[in-house]
Amino acid sequence: MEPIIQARNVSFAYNAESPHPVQALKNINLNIFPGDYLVIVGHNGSGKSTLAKHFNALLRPTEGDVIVAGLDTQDLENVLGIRSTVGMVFQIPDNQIVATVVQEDVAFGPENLGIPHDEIKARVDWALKVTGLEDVRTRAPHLLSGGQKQRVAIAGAMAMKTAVLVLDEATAYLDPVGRQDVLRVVRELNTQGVTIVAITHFMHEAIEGSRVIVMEGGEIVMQGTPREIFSRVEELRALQLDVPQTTDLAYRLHQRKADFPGDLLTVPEVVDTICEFARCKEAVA
Amino acid sequence: MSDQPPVIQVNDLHHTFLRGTPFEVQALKGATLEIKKGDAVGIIGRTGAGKSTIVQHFNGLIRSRERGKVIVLGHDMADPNLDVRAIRQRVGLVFQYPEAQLFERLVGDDVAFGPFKMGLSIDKVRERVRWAMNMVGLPFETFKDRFTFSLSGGEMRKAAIAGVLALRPEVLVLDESTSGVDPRGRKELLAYIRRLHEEEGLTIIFISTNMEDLAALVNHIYVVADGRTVMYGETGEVFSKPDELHRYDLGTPQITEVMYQLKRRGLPVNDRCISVEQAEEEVWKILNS
Amino acid sequence: MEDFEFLRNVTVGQYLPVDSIVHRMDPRTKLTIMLLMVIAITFNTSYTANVILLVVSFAFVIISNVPVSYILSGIKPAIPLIVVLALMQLLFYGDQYVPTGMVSVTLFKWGWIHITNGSVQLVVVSTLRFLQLMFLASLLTNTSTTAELTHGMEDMLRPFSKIGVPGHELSLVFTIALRFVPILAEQLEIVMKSQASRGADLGSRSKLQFVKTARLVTVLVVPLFIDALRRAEDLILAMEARCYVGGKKRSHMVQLHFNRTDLIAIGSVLIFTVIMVVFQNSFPL
Repeated sequence: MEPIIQARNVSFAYNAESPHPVQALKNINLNIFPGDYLVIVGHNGSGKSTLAKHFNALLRPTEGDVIVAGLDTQDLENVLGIRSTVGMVFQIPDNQIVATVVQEDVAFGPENLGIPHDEIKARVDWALKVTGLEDVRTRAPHLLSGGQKQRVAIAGAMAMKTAVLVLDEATAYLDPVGRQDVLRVVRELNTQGVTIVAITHFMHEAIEGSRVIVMEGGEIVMQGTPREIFSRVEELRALQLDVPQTTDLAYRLHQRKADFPGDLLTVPEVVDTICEFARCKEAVA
Repeated sequence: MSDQPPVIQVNDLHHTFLRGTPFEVQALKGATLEIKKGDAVGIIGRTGAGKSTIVQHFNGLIRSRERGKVIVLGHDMADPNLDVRAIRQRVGLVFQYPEAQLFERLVGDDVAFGPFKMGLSIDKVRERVRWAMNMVGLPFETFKDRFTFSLSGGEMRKAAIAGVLALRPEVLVLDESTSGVDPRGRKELLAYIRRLHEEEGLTIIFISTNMEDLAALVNHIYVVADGRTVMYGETGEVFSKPDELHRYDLGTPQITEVMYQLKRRGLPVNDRCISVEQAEEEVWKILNS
Repeated sequence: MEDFEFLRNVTVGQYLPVDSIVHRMDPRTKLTIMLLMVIAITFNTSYTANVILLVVSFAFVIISNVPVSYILSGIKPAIPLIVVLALMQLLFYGDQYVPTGMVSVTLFKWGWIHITNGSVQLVVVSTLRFLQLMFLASLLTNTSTTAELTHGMEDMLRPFSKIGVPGHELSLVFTIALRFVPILAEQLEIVMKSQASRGADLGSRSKLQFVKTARLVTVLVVPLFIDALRRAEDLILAMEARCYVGGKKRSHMVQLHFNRTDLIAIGSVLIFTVIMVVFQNSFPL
């Protein structure tokens, strides 16, 4: 299968021409395949957001290239094609909504592409349905909750029928309920075949992905499935990343008892495993 | 702790926003709290429950003219002759996204705004600014002459918090001040809040949606739902009731959830564990027996 | 001023979601009617004509089901100022205004005070015009959502794009400004509360108010300005990510259609305006 996004030896420096360039990415090599759910974690300054902006040509590499669906991001002619393949949702919900009515904001993308009137309506209807926003389609955006606003942004990208959805720390400014709403919609879109690239500093969101990449200092320092990554607790700690308490507990028990698995992720997994080892009663219904 | 005098007492507090207009909203319908001197108290509740409304009564930003009493540091907040600004120096309030308040060109000047407003001499102001900036991890000498708006997001947040600390308040209220902060930043912030509580003796009131942070920081928790205080207790006690918390759309620290589930499966564990270390000891006892 | 919440609801000119013929009219109809009426008002300075115009404007309000009390409550804060201005015009401008087709007759003179039939007419007509414009403005803003108005505006400006008028860009600027008004109002409330918490005195009526006000402005305006700029930066990125390239070749989800009611309304107001302008000097008084 051909990767839908390819980063080849990508390096990037802010203010590259100035006397004080700031190196943000160092020699990144990455392939993202259709249908992937890739999670990129790292703390602020690791380069994860910078990398994300290369996927839709908001930034272009100072060295190396980024190929999106066969199109090179360095070529300005390709920009519209690339941005209709890769949609992006940003951190601050309010700062990406343009219109004063939800459904009109969702239509903004297709309108920019010159999509014929009837088709826009169909796309907007579908996008609102898939993000669960049909009830609020005529509401003013500033009256929505944070989670709803981010779903409007997702609907806006989906209305452009993008094959890839990049979420650049899209849950950072949401409350727990809002975060759940967004993750649910993203999960659903992924099962429908949308490729997801989620940038986050919340480690527990990394569980959602099929693949996790950990970034530090502009480089990829760890790669693997969530289970593989989470079990490397000491390395994550050294990078000052959150380790979910469940994994932490499993890891500590594993240190004490080698046959206790150290790569558990969720509460049910940990509870079940402990119960197995303790041979406790049947689960109380 | 129970012999300490209360610094804040709230009794059956009611508050309505935009009273008398068609947009009237009853935010508080009977909130009751007592915060003892030197305690670290958490306030949790879903968005819109009324947490921010309650704490904005503590420094007089909101002064309710309805039912209920608010007594802060011995002063009745409904007293029309009250010197509100004096209260605001003693009860510091840090908002969500505190960097919104930054306005001075140089960092040091912005942090000094509060102390200057208090009428202190330049030497005393400098002393307080130095203390505040060092406390939050923005070394005074390095950062005092930096341009405020050239700082990174995390540094700006620290500068804003320093601006409140420079008042040397006795009570520090943090309203979701860790929102949008990455794990490393959160750890730093929690570390100096803990220092302020343990070393400087500040009374801390912490509103947050992060249960693990609360478990690590506060001794008591109030749960606010629909404008009322609905639960209260020691941290471990409150978090040992996930079903009740769930009714209010609230969770518990992951580790407490694990212990609760294990107890339900019949294991003799302490379901009031609020840290991974405690849980590890409890589970190891079981596995080893 | 210690009551910070007044900013949350900016109610002047708010859309009132009741149902009426006027609410259902195409926004372009309402904009056109407003323009025509303004022309009729501008050309008419006689008592009779202005009473007719007032009655017609009032008729629009009646058929739009907007309570008159709602409109008048918007004027309330301005009444003291209006009364002062009216008195000044009445008392001191007697020799400056000569009514068309009439002779200036002094009604009362004493020192600076000079009342003529001209100044009386000026004051009465000004007051009537003010009321007419209030009612017409209500016609637009209380019966149409901001989205409708901007679509109407954009549509009416479209033919002028051939001579370089950026109709789409202008209406987008308008939309975005309206979209961010409640957001910035909320931000202002937050900034006010933060600064008050640090000891800024935003409420007390003290001496040296003028000096304090200048400083106060910095404390509030600078953070608000920076916030607005940040939001603008984010918004630009989000718009580019959704392929925004300006007004050319854009399609539209919302399409405006005139129906019979609209055409009858425009037609009748057009006839009325022509009559009023052509016969402006034929009215008694």
